[in-house]
Amino acid sequence: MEGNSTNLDAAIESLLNVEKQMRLAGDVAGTRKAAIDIVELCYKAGAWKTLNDQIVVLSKRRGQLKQAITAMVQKAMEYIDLTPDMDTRIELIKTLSSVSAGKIYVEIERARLIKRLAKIKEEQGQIDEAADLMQEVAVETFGSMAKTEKIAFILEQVRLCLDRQDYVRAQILSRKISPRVFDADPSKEKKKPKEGDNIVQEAPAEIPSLLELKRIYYELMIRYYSHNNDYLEICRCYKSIYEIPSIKEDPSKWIPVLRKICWYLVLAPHDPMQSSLLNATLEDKNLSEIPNFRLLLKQLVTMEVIQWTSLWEFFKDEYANEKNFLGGALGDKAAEDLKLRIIEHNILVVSKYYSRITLKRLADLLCLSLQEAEKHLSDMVNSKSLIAKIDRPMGVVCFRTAQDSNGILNSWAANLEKLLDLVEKSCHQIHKETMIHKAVLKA
Amino acid sequence: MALQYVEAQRQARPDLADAYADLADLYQRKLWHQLTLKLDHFLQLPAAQTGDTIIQLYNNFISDFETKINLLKLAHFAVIASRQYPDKDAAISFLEGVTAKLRETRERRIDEPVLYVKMQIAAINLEKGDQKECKKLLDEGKSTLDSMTDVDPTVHASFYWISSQYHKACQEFAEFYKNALLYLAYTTVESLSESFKLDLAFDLSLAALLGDNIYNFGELLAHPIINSLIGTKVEWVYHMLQAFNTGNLALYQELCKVHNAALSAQPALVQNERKLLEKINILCLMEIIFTRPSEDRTIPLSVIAERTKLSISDVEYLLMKSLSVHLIEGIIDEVDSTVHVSWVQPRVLGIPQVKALRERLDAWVGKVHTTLLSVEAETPDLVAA
Repeated sequence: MEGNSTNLDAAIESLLNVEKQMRLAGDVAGTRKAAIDIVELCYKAGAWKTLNDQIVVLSKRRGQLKQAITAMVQKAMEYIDLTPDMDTRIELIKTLSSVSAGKIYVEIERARLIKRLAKIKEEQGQIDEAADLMQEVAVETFGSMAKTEKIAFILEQVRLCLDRQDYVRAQILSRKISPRVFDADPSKEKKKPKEGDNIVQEAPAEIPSLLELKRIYYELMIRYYSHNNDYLEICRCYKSIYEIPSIKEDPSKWIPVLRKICWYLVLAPHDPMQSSLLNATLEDKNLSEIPNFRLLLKQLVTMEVIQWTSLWEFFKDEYANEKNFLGGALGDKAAEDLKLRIIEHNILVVSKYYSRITLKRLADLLCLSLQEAEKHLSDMVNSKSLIAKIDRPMGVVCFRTAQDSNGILNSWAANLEKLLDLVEKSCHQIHKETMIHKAVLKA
Repeated sequence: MALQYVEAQRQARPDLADAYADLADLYQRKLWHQLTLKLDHFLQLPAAQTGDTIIQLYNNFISDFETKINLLKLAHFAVIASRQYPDKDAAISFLEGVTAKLRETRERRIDEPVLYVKMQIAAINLEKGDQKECKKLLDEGKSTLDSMTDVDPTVHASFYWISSQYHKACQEFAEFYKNALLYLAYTTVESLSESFKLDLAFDLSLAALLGDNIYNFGELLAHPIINSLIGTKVEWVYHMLQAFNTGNLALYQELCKVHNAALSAQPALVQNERKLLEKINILCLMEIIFTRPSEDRTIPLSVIAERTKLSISDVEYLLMKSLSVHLIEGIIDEVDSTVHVSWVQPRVLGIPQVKALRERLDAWVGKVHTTLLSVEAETPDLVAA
């Protein structure tokens, strides 16, 4: 043992001398080779502590060449998977990452190291530490990192933040990815590199494709919006997943996604965006594969009072079934929101068809008690989705605003104009037919 | 080769000898148009419908000069021939071969014959029970048809017929009704056989009664085909349509009693009894609105309840349904128990309804005239002052 250690030290000493000569002489190849040899020597001797020490020593040399450090770090990274135990591995990664810190020419290597370390921490159950480690690295500024690797890295950052329930930071990080990058045309990116441009490295083999990253991205966004119960955004995320070609071509893949789209459309609060998405989805031909959901959307689009009890009776099995599909169960909160949405739909229908209605009748139509009906109505008035006045002593609801004389006059004028247009059109048609028949008679 | 085939057939089929002789003569003289007309007549002959006569004729004779005649006519002949194949897959292969040949000609207007042949392929797929493939061909046909102009009526008729049969197989009454009426719009009624007209009229009547959002029967009742129901076992469906068109609830209930056996024999009618009742109520409502004078647009719910024999709350549901499918426009005042109707969907009217409308217009003209006279009487005073 003593003999081996002595031999190793002697060998390192002589190599260090060689390295010094090469570095001072400015010989890139020689310096790099010496550094690699030292690292390799330590590895072969199984002297991990010495390896760490030498890495630090070599990187601190005055005027140390960039290429040498890069080569050394890359060589050492190959040994990470070959370490005898976890502590040694962590130590090596930490050494390499501290050595790489602040150096642009090894920023990619450092990012990969941090990622490895974060994964180890995560496996050890230290989510917070893993998330903190990842957040230190700002890959979006890396000029030489491949786009897909960057996206994959940021998605890891987002996922770790979600895992530790740090939703605000997760959203901030997710904004670093613009959804438009997923739709970029790969063939257009074969630009000739300009003089002085960074050479972009190839992404490692294990990095997923752009379309796979797109799916991962939207799945993470779904997790984010789910904690907020932001149903419309969840729906839009599923819609984007639905558009991915590999999913679009496989019914067993797009059917679960389309089901989720339908559920979240129904759950989303009523607004113009929801309405247009709803109508667009109804025109999707694939909807004929899941006719129950087409029926569900149809009921929302049709301005008729929906019986909550019969609707739930019909759909509750489908609802429970969702836990067997991609994205999992919708949950109890969503079930309550669904009922709320149906009530709101029904109130909107009533407000469209009735100018005045008794509160008792309204409660009957909604299948609610008087107090509940009044509460929901008031909530909707507060949120400005409805205009109504309640005469509580009389128990009467009025859905129409009083129209002033200008309004009445304007609507009368509009009606008259419409009537005159119709008369003019009729005369024109009659005249045309007369001319045609006259010509026929003449012939 | 083609000529030899025809000569051989003259010997083998004495009953068609004259027809074959004519074909041979026109072929030799290369009178393609006249030959087309003669073939058209030949293919209608009852004697030619036996066995594989038409198939052989097409493959051995018509295909010889297929690019020299009108391509749409060629498509017609091919479709007639394909109906003789016992094996549906063989028929499809045959038609696909015809399509390929048509495309090889590279003529400008091959979309029409190709579409016509493809519709027949869709029909055969439907008969095989392959609804998905049929649907796919119909969708493609639809977009092709929309992009073409000045299309021959037979192509339109072919598309709408296959489309209506597809929706019939899917039990989609409303779509069947729409497509079948469009088919009739591109077809002359005289060219259809009596039994075909009766079947189609019956199917259309049922579809009108059962289809969602079909509240306009005037178009069907005004069409000559509906007369083929009169004097037959299924005349009851004609009277049923009349009852619906006039919103006559009493007549409807009477018909249900008298023709209970016939109604029970129709599974679709039995299953949709509730829907039928809802529909007659809606039409009854429309008739109530139609017959009220224009200055009296506010209708008490009790009047509607009395005429439709519903409770007040059911009348409200009825009104909401009518408003939802946009048959009427208006607003309900539940406190006063009234509904103010501002608009009714235009409908195709029957003769009695038009007569009532004319009387209304005459009354209106009378009022206008009275107003004119009174204005004239006032004018001198105004001018003088």
